[in-house]
Amino acid sequence: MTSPVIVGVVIGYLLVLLVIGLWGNRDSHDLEGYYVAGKKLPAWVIAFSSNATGESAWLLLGLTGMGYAIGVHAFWIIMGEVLGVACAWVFVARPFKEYTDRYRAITVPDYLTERFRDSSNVFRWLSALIILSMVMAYTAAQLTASGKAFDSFLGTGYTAGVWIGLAIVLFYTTVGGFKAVAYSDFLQGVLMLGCLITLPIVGIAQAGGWSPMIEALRAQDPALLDPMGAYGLTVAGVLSAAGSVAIGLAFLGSPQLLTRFMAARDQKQIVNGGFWAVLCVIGFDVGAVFGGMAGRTLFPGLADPETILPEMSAAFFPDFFTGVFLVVVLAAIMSTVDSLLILASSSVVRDVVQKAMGYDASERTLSNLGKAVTVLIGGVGLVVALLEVRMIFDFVLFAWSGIACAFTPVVLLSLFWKRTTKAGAVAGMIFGFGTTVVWVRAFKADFYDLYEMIPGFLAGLLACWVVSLFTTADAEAVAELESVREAVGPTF
Amino acid sequence: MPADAWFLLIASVGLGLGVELVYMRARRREGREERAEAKSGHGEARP
Repeated sequence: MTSPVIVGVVIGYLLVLLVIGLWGNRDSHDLEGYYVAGKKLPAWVIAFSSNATGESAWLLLGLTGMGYAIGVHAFWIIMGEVLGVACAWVFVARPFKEYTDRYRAITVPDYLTERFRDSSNVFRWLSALIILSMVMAYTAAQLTASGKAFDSFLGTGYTAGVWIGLAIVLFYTTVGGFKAVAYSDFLQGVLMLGCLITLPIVGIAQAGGWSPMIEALRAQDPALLDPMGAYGLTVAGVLSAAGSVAIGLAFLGSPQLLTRFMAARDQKQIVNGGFWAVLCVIGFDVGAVFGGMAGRTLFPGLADPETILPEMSAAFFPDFFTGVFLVVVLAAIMSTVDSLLILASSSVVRDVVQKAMGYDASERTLSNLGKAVTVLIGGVGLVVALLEVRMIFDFVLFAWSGIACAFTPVVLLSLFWKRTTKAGAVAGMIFGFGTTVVWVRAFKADFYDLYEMIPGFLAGLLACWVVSLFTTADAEAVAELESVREAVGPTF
Repeated sequence: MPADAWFLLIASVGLGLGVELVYMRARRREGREERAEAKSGHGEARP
């Protein structure tokens, strides 16, 4: 029987989310309010919110599991993520914010359309196609995690767990819009950070201290303490490390993260937020990997390494904290699902219905349509999650790279290379996304399991660059890039 | 933990953190210069 203390903690958390949803409601009655919180968010909210969105349940269950399974080889993931977050805030955020404020853009396709003077709406249709397909998959995987978390901690059964998770997210997302999403993400990010600082400290103490933990790991498998892992210094080892570092590329241009920069109150919030974002991701990743490594010494031989966090929380913490750990897993899931739903909804309503199809309606009507589409997309994710219980994290990494490879190379070149053209950008999106899918289906198994982010990103970058070289950039857009560069000033 | 693992960990954290710290320092210097210019009447402080 589940402890009433655990149930109480979970119910308390869910009530807080409902209150945040109601609080955000008054600012969600027009499209700018519903999709970017009226561009009024402060530094600390965008910092934690972007990290909480970027990490998902993969951080708590997947990365702790990697610390457990591969030991210090998982440090390469820390390198990629910390560098990715730092470079996003230092190099990308300010010019992107400058551009999107000039355009009054509220979505990434808005930005691309204006940046490349596109009147055919090709960026809107293409983006909608890519975002919808990936968001459905991503959301379904997170809802699967929700079902498993509720079931394993509270014994609700898988189906009920999926329904409860989605119902809560849909309530505060549709009622409170992006403001509720961002502030709830902030709360969820703080909870995740607290958990991932506590977990390794308690784990290492339970293992007898630092040195005994390291000795126990060495005794189990010396490869757990080798930076190149079980592969050693081989092609497979180098490609595995490179794939881990490449996870961080997504922070530079994924729409669900760029939305945070658009929603910042002003440039000053971005300068201040970067430091907190980097500290936050260091705490997240180092805590998760060391937590997993400590768990390996305490619970060797787990059939599924991704269950190490629930195992440790149940074994070493009183009921109240076990409830908190469940809340943190739910927080990681919900902070990603809410942002993905808002992203997909904005892509349909703002980019396709309002702009590409020219549907003329009041802001309130469009905002209500956005809410209806949010529910619809959540419903499709629910059906997929209920039809097939798949797990989870390979699929999450695939969707993460699919979105990233479609947008990141194009966004980067559009911000920093004045010769980037519309044709180049379209080619970059198609080749980046297409290569990711084709790589997983046809080549990955034969190439040392190289993570699809690397070929996808390179293909997108190369296609955008080559096609731009053979086409002519709009003169007005070139002058505008110079003007943005001047307004933002030198980076260092 | 072996020295190469420590090195990787420090590099993993230090590279990103270093980029961010250098950037913050540059922004502070820029802010000081703008304030000094505004005070001496040779320029305008950015909002």
